[in-house]
Amino acid sequence: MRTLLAFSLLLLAWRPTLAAEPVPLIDAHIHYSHDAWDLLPPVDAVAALRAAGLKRAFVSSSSDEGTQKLYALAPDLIVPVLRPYRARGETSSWLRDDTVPTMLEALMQRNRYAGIGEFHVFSANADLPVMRAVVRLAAKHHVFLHLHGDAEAVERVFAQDPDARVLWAHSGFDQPEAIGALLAKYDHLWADLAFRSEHGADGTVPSVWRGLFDRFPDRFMIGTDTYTPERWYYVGPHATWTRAWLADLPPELARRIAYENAETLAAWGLGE
Amino acid sequence: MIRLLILLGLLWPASTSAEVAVLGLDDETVEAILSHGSWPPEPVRDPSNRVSGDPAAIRLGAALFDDTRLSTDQRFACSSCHRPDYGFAEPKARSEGRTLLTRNTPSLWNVGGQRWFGWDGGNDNLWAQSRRPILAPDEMASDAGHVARLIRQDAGLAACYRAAFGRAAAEVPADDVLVDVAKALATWQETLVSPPTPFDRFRDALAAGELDSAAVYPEAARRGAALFVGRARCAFCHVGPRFSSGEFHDVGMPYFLERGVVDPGRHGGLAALKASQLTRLGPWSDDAGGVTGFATRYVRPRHADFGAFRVPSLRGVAETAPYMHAGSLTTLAEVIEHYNDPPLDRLHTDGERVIRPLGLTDREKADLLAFLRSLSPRQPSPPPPVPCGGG
Amino acid sequence: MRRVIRAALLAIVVWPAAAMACPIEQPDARGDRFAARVITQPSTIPLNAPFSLIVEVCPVVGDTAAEAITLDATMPRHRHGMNYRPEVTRLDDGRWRADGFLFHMPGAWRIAVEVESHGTVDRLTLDRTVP
Ligand code: HEC
Ligand code: HEC
Ligand SMILES: [Zn+2]
Repeated sequence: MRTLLAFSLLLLAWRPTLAAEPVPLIDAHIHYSHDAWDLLPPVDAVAALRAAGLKRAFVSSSSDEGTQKLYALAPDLIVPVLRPYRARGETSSWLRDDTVPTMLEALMQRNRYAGIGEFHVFSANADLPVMRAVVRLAAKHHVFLHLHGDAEAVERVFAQDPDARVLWAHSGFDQPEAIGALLAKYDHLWADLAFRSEHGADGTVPSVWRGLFDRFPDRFMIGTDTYTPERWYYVGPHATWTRAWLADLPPELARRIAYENAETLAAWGLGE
Repeated sequence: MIRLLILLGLLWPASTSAEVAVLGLDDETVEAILSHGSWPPEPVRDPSNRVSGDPAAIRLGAALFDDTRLSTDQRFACSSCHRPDYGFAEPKARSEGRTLLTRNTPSLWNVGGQRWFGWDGGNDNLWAQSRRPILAPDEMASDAGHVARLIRQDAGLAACYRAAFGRAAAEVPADDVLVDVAKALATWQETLVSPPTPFDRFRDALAAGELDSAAVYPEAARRGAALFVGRARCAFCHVGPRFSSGEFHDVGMPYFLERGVVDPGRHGGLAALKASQLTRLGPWSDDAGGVTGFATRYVRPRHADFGAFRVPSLRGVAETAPYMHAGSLTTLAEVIEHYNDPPLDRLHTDGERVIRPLGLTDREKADLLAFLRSLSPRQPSPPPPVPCGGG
Repeated sequence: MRRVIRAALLAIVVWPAAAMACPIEQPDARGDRFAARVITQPSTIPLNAPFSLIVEVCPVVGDTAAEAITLDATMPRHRHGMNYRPEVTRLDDGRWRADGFLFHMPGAWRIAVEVESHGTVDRLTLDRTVP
């Protein structure tokens, strides 16, 4: 009996160390664009992700060559997502470029992807022919869409294809109520929390966000958004920051947001 | 009564600005231009520094600023990098201490009264910022013991110290002497207020409705001023009489230092602030209740902090090339080109919405340049150093 | 002249309010369930300098009390917020006080008052322009 007691005391004493073991994370919002290759060669990029303790990372790049370089180096780590941009700075012109669908189709024949994105599309532009073609492509190849845009754009995509799977970048920078309303409406909608901090400032999750996470435990994931090469060195600090507010949630919920939801979406997209 | 005063206050600029339309500036532009004055501001003492404004401390600070003995091997004085003949800045992209440093040396004109110090705002007060280079291994590489010995052993400095702090350095622990030295340095730097400029005379003439004197300001600079506060959107960040909000932005400048190493900017500054004992809320501050600790108490960490740098003041900017946190732009013309055609792909779509391509004509670029040049006094005159007794 | 009248009106509206009195007759912000009167200190929001808010919150219908409120501000057109995070405290007279506001840019700002009650949040907003 006494040994048992001693043992459980030991366990108790051990707990802090166990808890300090960093939670694995999947970062759903990473870009590796052409201007990153010189000062951040693929080995450095992969090292930065591993140093941050990431299990996997959704990577999309302008052009896609960047993603392929990383995927070749670390297929266990990189979840390739196909960005419809040839170079950075095409965030609004791509929708008017009718060669985009052909380019995407050719790449999808050649390579493996879990999704198409991250692309920018707002409001009625989601019904432009290029966007419609992208929605069809995603359905054909059984991949998700990583969409940076407003709620209206998301709704228009689902109107085109109710079976589409959409990862809503930055949760649309929308208010929690609006995010909740959209998630309630579409079962195949996920939301990343990249580049926003009100849900976890100071390592505490405010009650509004806690309520939202509780209501939709399977739909949120985290992301850094490396929109410049330098920001790869923010993946680590961002992971630390993320772990702090995740620790404010029940462990099971925290795990889902940390990596399980992203893992599920990646597995679906990759046909794993 | 108060209401009457408010009425009068608003009536006054309203009536002048209506007339000023003659100078080609509409009401809104005039109001915006007026917001960049008046200059110089009322001198304010720093409550976190008990010797702020004290003449004896100013004398000690002036002497120390120029004294290479602060560094262990006598290689650097503050003035080695903050050159009085160069606007207290340096004609180098990145400063050189014992190694190549990571940032450009900022001008020290008007450094008193800022909210944050350093390109990353790693300090919330001038004395902490002044202690930094003394201890930095890449700069003066000194320590409290060395500094205290210097003050105690040099008769002139010892006398100045006693006059400023009312006690003998020999009776004060070395760590305290070091902070006192930093406070004296701060006190002297607070006197570095740049004189009024051609822009200030223009602005004051507008304020007073004296159109003849306002018309002395060259037409190109006048058009440049209108651009600055208007279509070019510069005044969203370069606000007020200092031409700086003192806050942190990412205007699209690269911040790699070398392969594998970046300058984290404000993100690192906040980490340093958090770790520092020398803040306005800390034990070394003389502002007992931390009344002036607003910024440090409420500051909010943001993801955008990574790679963001403090908006520099533009007073005297023509005198302190090269530009930006790492001195990567060599001329003001290059800075204007940068803003005219900013690297949009380096800016997050939900980041700096104020930075957008400007489509300036050559004449407009020249106008903006003429305006920026008019922010320098005709003769920037650093105050002469006053030696401490036998120092 | 119009500006002068507006200034005079402002001066009256901004006059320090007395203690709490529900309902609020002319709220500065109104949501589905709550309305708020918001006073800034100083009364004219300064550019790039700290200021505080005093907020009265009343239910629009019924008598549900506000349990907690959060105050923040953004520049909707620039899509960014403040670099400082205000802290809210409850005053003895039932009003709320927020310190830590600072508008670092001139232009249009939107102040958001989030009122929590019974596990839900009512978002009230009011717009202020800093010249
Ligand atoms: C080796 C060169 C060097 C020396 C010596 C040096 N500085 Fe600096 N100083 C710099 C650089 C570079 C920066 C910018 C640092 C940063 O942003 O991190 C700076 C920044 C500052 C600032 C901040 C200005 C602002 O606008 O926020 C102050 C104040 C200052 N130095 C004072 C001093 C004093 C006082 C000394 C002597 C005790 C000194 N410096 C010595 C290079 C130097
Ligand atoms: C979004 C805020 C913002 C806007 C708008 C802005 N600036 Fe700046 N400015 C900054 C920041 C921040 C820096 C320092 C950037 C760095 O070092 O990375 C800077 C640096 C500068 C410098 C260099 C000063 C020095 O001492 O190094 C000049 C000159 C300048 N800006 C002029 C302008 C002009 C002219 C405009 C309008 C065309 C403008 N700025 C618009 C924030 C801004
Ligand atoms: Zn994005």
